[in-house]
Amino acid sequence: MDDRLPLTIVTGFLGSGKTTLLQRFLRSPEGQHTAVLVNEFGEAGLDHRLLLHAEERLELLDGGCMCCARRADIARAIHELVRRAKAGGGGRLRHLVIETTGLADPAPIVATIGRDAWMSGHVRLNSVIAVVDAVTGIANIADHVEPRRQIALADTVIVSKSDLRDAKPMPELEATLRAIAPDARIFDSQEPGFDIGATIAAAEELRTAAPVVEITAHASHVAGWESFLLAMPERVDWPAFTLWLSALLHAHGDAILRVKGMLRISSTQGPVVIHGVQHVMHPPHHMPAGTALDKPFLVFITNGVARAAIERSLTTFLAAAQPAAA
Amino acid sequence: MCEVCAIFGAGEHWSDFGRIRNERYPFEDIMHYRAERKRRIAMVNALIAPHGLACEDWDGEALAISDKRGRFKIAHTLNDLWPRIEELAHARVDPLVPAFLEVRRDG
Repeated sequence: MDDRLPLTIVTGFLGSGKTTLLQRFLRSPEGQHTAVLVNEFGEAGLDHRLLLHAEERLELLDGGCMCCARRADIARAIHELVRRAKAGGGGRLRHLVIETTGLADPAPIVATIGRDAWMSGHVRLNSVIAVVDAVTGIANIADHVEPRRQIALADTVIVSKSDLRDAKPMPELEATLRAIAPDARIFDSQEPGFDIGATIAAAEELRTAAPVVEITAHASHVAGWESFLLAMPERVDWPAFTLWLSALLHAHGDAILRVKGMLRISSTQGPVVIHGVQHVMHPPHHMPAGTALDKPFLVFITNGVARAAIERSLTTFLAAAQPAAA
Repeated sequence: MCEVCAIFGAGEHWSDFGRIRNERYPFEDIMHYRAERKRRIAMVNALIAPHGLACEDWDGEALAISDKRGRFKIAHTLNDLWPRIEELAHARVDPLVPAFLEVRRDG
């Protein structure tokens, strides 16, 4: 059984409604026994028993790549929370939520979890949720790089303030969001049926399921940004594929915001779901042997790396590895 | 290494999780894991041999990269492999260029 503490990152541009959403979550049954780590106290304010504040602190690691910078504040806070949870019997603390600042890039948080052996042994990334304001969201996405990155890195996007008079229509918002994150789950927080507790609690299950929408190419509104789906062979050779992907992320991880895929591989009967953020891949999720998968795929969200180059490279590499795979 | 059965060769890198179903340690089929590891090393060698480098398994725990002058570097995971190869080959690893490993002009 996986007894690691689930971690949800709530991100979103300035004033998008992150804290309000978090308040709803903390009031839900699923939100009980949740520790919240914030980098700034927002206007909405959180009155919560397990609220921690940490000064945002980035440590650049070797290579000085920003997306792999270690969030020392978060590492220290998580270490302390896990230690406390274990000392106290471990039964009470069930979930950890990090609310980022509006201008923060979630990638270093993901890297902090994924690259530290102790951390990835005690904490698992449950979900990255981006909150997008229905009134100003589209303009912010066009004008600022931060919200684009936040959405690109998210597996779930929650639209806030859709009940306001100036809110953009949901189809327009969805089209804009899908152009950045084609496989993300998109929710309207003002829909009567929207349940933030269930949405966060089921995030991993939903993320590892096949996408609910047919992912097609979306025209990006911003030059250099691209999201695309590559159809994969019936079964891929795992040693060859991992070699290729690790080399690709080594060389271009700063330009590959997210990669996700559902594949059949040489190593196992059931499909596997893979996902990674920039240079960091998470351990694959294995589906049961009988799970249907008609069209294995990889989804890339990139900023500055073209689809054609990735597709050509992958096809060539897998073809060259085929004789060994026999 | 598995602390219980003292079997070497069960890594913690994401690529080491090809075989298992969601447990964190892939001991159910260690032989399959080792066979795939061996094939992966053969593929690495095919890529780096033109640059005078060789890759060997280091007790199933890490990868050892050496050049013809006997210089030697250890890579614990695939994440470390590419930087170590770049250091020894004075080349840049880039799967998007046809050569995969491109000699650095400044090297």
